[in-house]
Amino acid sequence: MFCEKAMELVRELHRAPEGQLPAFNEDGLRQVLEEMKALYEQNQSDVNEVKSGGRSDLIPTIKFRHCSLLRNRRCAVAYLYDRLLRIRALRWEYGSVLPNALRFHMSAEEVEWFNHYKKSLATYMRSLGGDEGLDITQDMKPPKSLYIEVRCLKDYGEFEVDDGTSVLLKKNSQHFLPRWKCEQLVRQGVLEHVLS
Amino acid sequence: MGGGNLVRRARERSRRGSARPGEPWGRLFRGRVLLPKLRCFLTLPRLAACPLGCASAALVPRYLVSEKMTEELDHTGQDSDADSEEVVLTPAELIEKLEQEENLRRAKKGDLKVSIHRMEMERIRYVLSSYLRCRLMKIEKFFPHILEKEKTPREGELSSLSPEELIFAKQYMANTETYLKNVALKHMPPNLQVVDLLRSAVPKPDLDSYVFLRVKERQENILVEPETDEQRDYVIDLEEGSQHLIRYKTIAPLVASGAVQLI
Repeated sequence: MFCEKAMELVRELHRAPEGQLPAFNEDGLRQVLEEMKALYEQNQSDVNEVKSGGRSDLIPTIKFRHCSLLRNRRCAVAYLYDRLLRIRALRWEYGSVLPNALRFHMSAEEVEWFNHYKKSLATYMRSLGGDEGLDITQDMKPPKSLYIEVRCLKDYGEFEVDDGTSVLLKKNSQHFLPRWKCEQLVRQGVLEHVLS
Repeated sequence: MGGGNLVRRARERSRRGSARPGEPWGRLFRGRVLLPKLRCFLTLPRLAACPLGCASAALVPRYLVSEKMTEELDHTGQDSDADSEEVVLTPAELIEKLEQEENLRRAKKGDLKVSIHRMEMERIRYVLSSYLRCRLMKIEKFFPHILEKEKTPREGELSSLSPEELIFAKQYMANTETYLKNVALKHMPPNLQVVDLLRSAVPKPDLDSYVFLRVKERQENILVEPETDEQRDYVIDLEEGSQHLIRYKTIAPLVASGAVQLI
């Protein structure tokens, strides 16, 4: 049946939990495009036959194939657009530099899209005012206190605080650090907010 | 939202000096932070005299709530009155100014005032970021429709987007279109290569969703069209101070003019 491959693509994304980016199904997309090409060529020859031979009984077939073509395109565009939305969410969650594992799941064009998006977001944030602009990817949650208690989950190394003192972040060490410095690391998973 | 109205309301509010709920130290700053057109109008009078305080970012949370509640982009208002003593500041400048406040320098290190001040700064920064983030998300979600609206010239009505947001929206659109074209559409049959993002790919903002609102100014004769066909249209009057749950489409122009407030 036509459009099976396209449905597969959409189903694959639908099955992946919210926010997760499965690997780019290059094969699937290629098959959908090939199917579209085949359908189109069949349609072209039939249209020519109808025009020259007057065989109007082919018209329903042509219409059916055209509908399949439209559906294929819709599924393909939906697949690609949904992946773009997930990639955009990654920028807001992980920051400018993506972890390598995720980068392997993206195709080259997606990486390019991501870079463009990063750039235009950075331009916007810089233009918000003052010298450096306002980084709106920080401060995701309302601040409860100035300093927070954090526990280190992985070995990170030296970490410098505002007044110059540096802290060595070793696994399972606990520190009392200013909130805004830690937020980035908490999101990356290096630190863990301790609520006691 | 009308700039003039906001300034007047803000002055009233700051004169009253009411504490926002959950704010134990009341009216700390004698400043006002308004966010029409994403600029802050902050009065920082005679810094030396005024005690450390909270910016009555009283209006900023209200904008935030309003923005969060609708799917349409709230209109950015006009500039403030020319004869007010407002100083126009952008969000980051505001934060910078707060940091440099003289009182801070005079206070000893470790003084309680410093932490309260910084806490307040964090809060303001959070609310501002949240507001801007919300707008950005809406732009990205509905970009073809927003850009379409921007293209049609309207008289007397200002754009909903600031110039920077417009640039961002256009770049986002160009980026997405290029990507789709290069990856898929280029390889498709010639008569299908153009995908109309406006109509097919991106869903329209749902203006029929219900919103809560509080009425600030009395309105008369609002035409309400019920969803089911059995009931016919009827008109209602909105009393000042009353709260309603109503479809956004019906009261959209009132939100823009500031006559009602979304909660």
